[in-house]
Amino acid sequence: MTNSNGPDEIAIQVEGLVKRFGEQTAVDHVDLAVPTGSVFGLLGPNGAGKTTIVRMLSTLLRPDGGRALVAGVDVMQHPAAVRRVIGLTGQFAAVDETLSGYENVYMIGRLLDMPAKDARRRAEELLLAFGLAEDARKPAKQYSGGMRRRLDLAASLVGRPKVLFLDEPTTGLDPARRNDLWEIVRDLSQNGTTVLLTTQYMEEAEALAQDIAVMDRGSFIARGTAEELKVRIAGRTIRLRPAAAADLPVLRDVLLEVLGVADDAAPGTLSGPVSEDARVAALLRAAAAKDIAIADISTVTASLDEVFLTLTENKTEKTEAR
Amino acid sequence: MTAITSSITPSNLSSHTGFRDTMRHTGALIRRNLLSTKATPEELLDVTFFPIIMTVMFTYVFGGGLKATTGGNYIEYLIPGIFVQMLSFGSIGVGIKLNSDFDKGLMDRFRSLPIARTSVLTAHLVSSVLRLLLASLITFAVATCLGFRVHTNVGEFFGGIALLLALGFGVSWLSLYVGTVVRSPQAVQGVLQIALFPLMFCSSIFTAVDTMPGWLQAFAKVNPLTTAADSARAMMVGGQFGLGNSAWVTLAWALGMSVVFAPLALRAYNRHV
Repeated sequence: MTNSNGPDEIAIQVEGLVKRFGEQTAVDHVDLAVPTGSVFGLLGPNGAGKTTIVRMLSTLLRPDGGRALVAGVDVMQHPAAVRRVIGLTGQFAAVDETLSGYENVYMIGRLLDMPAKDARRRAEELLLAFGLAEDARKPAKQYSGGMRRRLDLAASLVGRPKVLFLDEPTTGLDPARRNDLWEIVRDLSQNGTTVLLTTQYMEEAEALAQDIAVMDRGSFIARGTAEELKVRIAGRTIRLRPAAAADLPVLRDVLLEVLGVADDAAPGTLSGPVSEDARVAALLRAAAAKDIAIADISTVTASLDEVFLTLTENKTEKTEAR
Repeated sequence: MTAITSSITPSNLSSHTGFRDTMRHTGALIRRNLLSTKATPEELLDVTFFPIIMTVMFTYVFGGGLKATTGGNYIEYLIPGIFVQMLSFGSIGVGIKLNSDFDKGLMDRFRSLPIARTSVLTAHLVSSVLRLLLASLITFAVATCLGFRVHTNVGEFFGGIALLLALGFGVSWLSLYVGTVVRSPQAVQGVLQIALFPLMFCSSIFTAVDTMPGWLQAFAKVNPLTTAADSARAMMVGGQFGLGNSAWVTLAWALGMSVVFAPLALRAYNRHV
């Protein structure tokens, strides 16, 4: 936190960020550091405060406390400088529907002080890259939902932003269109653009983000890679099926003794949480000691959906006691 | 603060946007507004078709009855008033446009760009005046077809149009203010129509003020639409329609509205979330 020069540059640095709307605290002392060129996923339900964070970082909303640096520039002190290095794609495609796709992108180029010729070339280049070249001259209101999103994204990339904010970029898109957009985001990230993405879909966070923060009611309730979150928070589950059904009650006692929990996963199969590898070994030793023949054994890592549910149902205390 | 500087810090931290830049940004946004109007010409109905309907309706339906109290030639009385009606109601459109920019999230895009925030507002205002100018041309053409003739000199006529555009400018600021503070484009239309309809009918636009009951006359005489219609009449038709101080009063109204509503609109606009 003292030095962000060098290869591990921090593109977005947030410390103790607060935003209140009247009595309600929409964002409550959030800390965040996103390395340059990475994708950071902000995951949470509606109203968690994701959009509020994005709006503060993109200078649309003034924070009530804390500070935020985007590409090393303070968003409160130098909002105009921040605007020169960011791109924003909001929840709704922010395009002028009466204008053609080309005119929409061209206008942004002109607003970014590009000479007319450069703005024209950049617009054509982006529309081509996003598969909109053929419909470039059609009014945007004739575009499909996926095309509008791509146009919106193209508009936010005109100025080759160093930091790109994507606020629920795929909400309402069908899976094929969503995958197209994911590809674009991956490309951008590979080319050094830092992306902060908000989403309600764990799948999306998992597919794109190196780092994920799970948000609920204005605070981060967990963070890490998708893998870490899955293992750490919802944990892994072991499933055991004894060869003889008669061994089931004995196995249940073993599970209760070693893991403290014995759930009926399926007929003839028991399951329990195993947060550490050592527990698996301990469990198998205990079963062997009671002469239980195990026919089938498997461990399952929770899906990110389960992690999400666990967390947002405020069961964090339980898992932290682990 | 200083500890976290990085090599990708933009060299220019200035929040100042130069005058030439702002002019260019405003130009790009005016272009956008014009392209948008070109793509949706139905938006111009309120400044084209509406005045035509009012002109035809009042001339042929009420004209016969109103002739006696308005100087004998109703169309000469009516047309300058129609200009006033068109220029005031035509200003509603700019507030609706601004409001839809907020409504559709476009404003977020503009505000996340390194441009002066006011250039969006300025561009809408200029587009509004251009729209009103176009509407004036159409109204004039239709009026000429219906037998309206200008009896004053070119200077007076264009002076009259300029005065009405000044009033349109003032009403446009009101419209921009309403467009920033109400929730939906429909609400902008509703609020402004409620405000403008009584002003339109309780004025000298369609009929002479001295035919109204005394209490209404008091209102009608200070109504900016009355003074605007009176000045337009004097500057386009002249003769029996004297100018008096109506032009100055109208100009004062136009300035007054701009002075009051421009800062209100700017403040509300800058605070808009």
